Amino acid sequence: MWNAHAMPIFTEHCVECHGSPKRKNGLDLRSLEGVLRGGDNGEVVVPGHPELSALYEMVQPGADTDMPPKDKQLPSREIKILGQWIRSLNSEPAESGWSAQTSTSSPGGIISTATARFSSNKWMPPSGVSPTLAIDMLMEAAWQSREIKPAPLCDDATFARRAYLDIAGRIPTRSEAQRFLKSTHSDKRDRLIDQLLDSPDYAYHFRDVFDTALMDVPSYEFANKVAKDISGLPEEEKINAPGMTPERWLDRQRERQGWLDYLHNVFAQNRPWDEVVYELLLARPEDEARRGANWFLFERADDHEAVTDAVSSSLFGVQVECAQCHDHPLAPEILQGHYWGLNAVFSRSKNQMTALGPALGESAVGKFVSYTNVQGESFDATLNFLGGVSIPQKRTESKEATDDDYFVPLAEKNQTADRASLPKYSRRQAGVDAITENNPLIARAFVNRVWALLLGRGFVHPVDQMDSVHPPSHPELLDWLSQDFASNGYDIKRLVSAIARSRVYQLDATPESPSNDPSHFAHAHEKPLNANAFYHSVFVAVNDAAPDTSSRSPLELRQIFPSPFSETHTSTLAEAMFLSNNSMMEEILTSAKDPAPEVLSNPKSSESLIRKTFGRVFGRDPKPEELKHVTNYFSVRSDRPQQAYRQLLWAMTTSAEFRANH
Amino acid sequence: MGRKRRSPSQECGGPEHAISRRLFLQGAALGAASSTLSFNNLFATPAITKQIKSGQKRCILLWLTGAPSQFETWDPKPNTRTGGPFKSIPTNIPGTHISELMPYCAKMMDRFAVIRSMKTDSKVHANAIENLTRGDLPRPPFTRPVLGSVVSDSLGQPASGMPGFVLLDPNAEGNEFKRFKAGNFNGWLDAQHAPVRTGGTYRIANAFRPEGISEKEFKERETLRAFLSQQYETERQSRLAAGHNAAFDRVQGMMSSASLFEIDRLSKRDQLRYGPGAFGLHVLLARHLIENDTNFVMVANGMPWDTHNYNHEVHQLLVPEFDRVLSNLITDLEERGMLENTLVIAMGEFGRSPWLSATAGRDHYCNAWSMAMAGCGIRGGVVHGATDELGVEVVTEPVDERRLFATIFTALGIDPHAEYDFKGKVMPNFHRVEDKAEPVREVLA
Repeated sequence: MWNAHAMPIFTEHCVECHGSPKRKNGLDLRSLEGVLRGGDNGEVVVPGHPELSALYEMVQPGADTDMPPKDKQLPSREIKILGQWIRSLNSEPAESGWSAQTSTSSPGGIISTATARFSSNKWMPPSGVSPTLAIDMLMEAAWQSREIKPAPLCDDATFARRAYLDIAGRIPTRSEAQRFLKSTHSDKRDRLIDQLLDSPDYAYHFRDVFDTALMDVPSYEFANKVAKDISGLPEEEKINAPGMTPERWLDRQRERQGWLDYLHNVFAQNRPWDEVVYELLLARPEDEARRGANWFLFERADDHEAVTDAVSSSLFGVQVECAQCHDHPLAPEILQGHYWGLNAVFSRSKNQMTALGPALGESAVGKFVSYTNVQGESFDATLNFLGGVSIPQKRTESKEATDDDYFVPLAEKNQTADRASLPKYSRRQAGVDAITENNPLIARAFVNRVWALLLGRGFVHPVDQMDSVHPPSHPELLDWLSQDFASNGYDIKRLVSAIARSRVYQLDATPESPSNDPSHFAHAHEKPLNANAFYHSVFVAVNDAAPDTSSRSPLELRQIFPSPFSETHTSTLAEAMFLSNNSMMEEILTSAKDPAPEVLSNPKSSESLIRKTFGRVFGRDPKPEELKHVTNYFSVRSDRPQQAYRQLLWAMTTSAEFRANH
Repeated sequence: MGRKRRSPSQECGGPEHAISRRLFLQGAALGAASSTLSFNNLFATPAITKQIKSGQKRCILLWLTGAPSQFETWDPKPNTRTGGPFKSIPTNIPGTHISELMPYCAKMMDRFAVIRSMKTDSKVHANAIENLTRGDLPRPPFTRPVLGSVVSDSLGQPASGMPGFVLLDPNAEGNEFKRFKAGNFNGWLDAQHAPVRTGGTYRIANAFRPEGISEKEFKERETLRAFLSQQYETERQSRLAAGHNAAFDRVQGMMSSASLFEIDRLSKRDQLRYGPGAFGLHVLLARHLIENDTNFVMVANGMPWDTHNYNHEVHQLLVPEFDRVLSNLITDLEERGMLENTLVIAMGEFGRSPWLSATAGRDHYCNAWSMAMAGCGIRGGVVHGATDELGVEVVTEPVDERRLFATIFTALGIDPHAEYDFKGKVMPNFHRVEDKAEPVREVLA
């Protein structure tokens, strides 16, 4: 009840003064713990007894000390809710949205007892069950406890389109779909999932999805900054080359400097995600083939605040920007010390262009990080981040480093060394060890992200705000999957496969009840295709052939289509203008083999062509009214049948049905 | 209708004649041409009267990037240590004087409200541009929308399909303004309130039909698309599809309005009156877009006003052009009956220092500077606030970022203190203007 009812009231009316940075009367109303702890004058809430609770008295209209102050007054409905909530405090076990460190796996009983007590007790599937079974059990329990009837399973054709788009980043060709539909294997959906995970398309698709998740679309600002750190480019590849824009230049650097290859190999070789995170943060890959990992930090061009924000949101699933100046105003677990702890890990780092490419050097001295809170008190940062361990920064005695302090000395300016500078004591090494060691957030953030990718929204939504203000919709399942992911070698394919095999992934898109809260996952959510999946799918729709998924869509399309992880999806005018007029669509459409004119003029063969086309593009048969409409369209345009067919392909691929995976 | 006033064009005796022979020659030549083309004007104005009557409020922001000097414009201090070489001239408001570089505006001072007591936070371009385009100091990680986005959001999307907010800028690169242009315009508002950008190297993207597709074919295939897409939207009750289809509904309106952005299509006479500079032509285009249903146009003009060197000489070149363009704009809006519903704002991000630099320039100055407004919601002929004898400090009625924005919103009939509705998203409470900052009542009609 805290999360659902009480917290929103405190958040709206109270935490501006009783939270962070302001904490009037010593009272912190951001968390249940804070409310129960009370303020300078003692407790403000007596569990079970609103009539004895100072807080409840003060929010009444006309109270002696009337809160909120001045003319503000809580609506009576909210006062009533607070009363009910205080009364319920006696019976309700303490809950916390922040379960990363407290999650426990208890041996469970059978599913029915779990269901009965789901809301008040953390039942977990026994360890050793398959992750798919765990998902099925916990989702079923949640639906039952919420008295929700989930949609039925989707049909095979819908499943094929959905799985191809989610795992391979494109729709199936007609023969690929047919092969699946005709298969008589009882486990043919599982087989398709495995087949797609082993296809080259999977690694390219996930490369592109995680390029966006980790780097965002190339920005003007970072292009101009990082261009100063890159040397050795041929004239036509420089940022100021004729016809080059900063954004396009940066996009090409991601290819040229090995970043995209690195990401591709992560998924092609199914490398453990915790190792990948470690490589991205440390930027000292042991293997030359993994040099592209350096680009994650390098593109941020020594902007250590940007690095702090990117690391926390893309790898740990939390946003800490506001903790730069003060503890998080709403989420009490996010402290100013976390922001500066993470910042200190990277603040001695410096971009260096080596003979082998971009690398992250480090200074042996300097940049001791301390910070000041809004009360003016000053603190030394310790190397730490949420969920990890904390170690102090080492103070260095001398301000000047000597060569003795380095394995590889700090390169002089304008001198291209073979390797980036490497101090004997590396604060980045120490800090990365501290923040990654046994840190449950790395698995949780990744599991939540993959869940969001496949199910259309995360347990925590949006995916980069995994804090106590945004409790997960299914905390037990998120805990279970995260632990399972961590204890099975951070195996990415295993995680994707487990989710794709689950019942919840395979539900139909039509809800049983239209008012279903999306966080119940009671039906399949529509997921807008990302730019590359759209690009490759249009190619399949037009040519009925497998596309080269290693190529990427034009940058302009990637800039226009929103990230698959954005909180809400909004179609923009720019998107509609692009699909209507940009040459990309025309180029793909004219690459098609036009059907022979006589096929279109003959009603029988024309109908069969329309059926085939609907099957390929939409993955379904045309409805009678659609068949009629399109047949009529062809007959009116019989003077130019081939153009008419191309227009049909345009109209289908730019329709909302094609735009979404459902 | 306004009184007969001689439309300022380069052919008559303004101070610009004294300064630039090149401009003078250009002006003379163009002035001669203009008389033969002036009948164009008969057809150029009246077609849009129905929009004028609708009473829709609109705004043109002349954004003088780099920051002009108040001494050489609205707050002259002649014959003082700081005042520079230019004289002040009387205006049609008795007792109010402005710089002699602005003779045309002086004659219509009864239209303008001038604030001479701007006192703002930052004298660094990048920061001041942010503050004065958004109306408040930054509060990271939250990004307040710029004025044009807020107005576009508050006044609603034009039904015609025209964009609500257009940014015209001749200069894509290479100045302090570029960080702003690469930045986040719409802030916490929806992306649809970001500006459509054009001018210079910018063009409205994908605004023209692909080659090889006739207009007929284009419409036919869109009808087919809409049929298929609508089927899906209805059957699934899909919000994604609803947004998708709504975006496509606006495509043809946007495409048919794309030609409205072509300066070459505007009357030659007007091009002469506002040109030849890119800034003037963009102001003309702004007028044209406002006539055609756009709510807000921001005209920015690179960094010429950043006069760290030879302040007086550069202002002698720039201010007369500014005076001519601004007065033409006010005249045109008035003749079209649009001034009472169109707010015109002219300002930079700060002013310039009373003292001169070693290279005879004026440096950045945010402690005491001036800006001007006219039209919708504004009481003309008012000068608000004052600076001391040397223009060093504000002596009465200081106006900061918040009060200025409260004034602008009030003039446009927009509640300045309304709280943003984040529709359930966890955000601090934000208002159009924070802390109930008071509008400057004296300049409001």
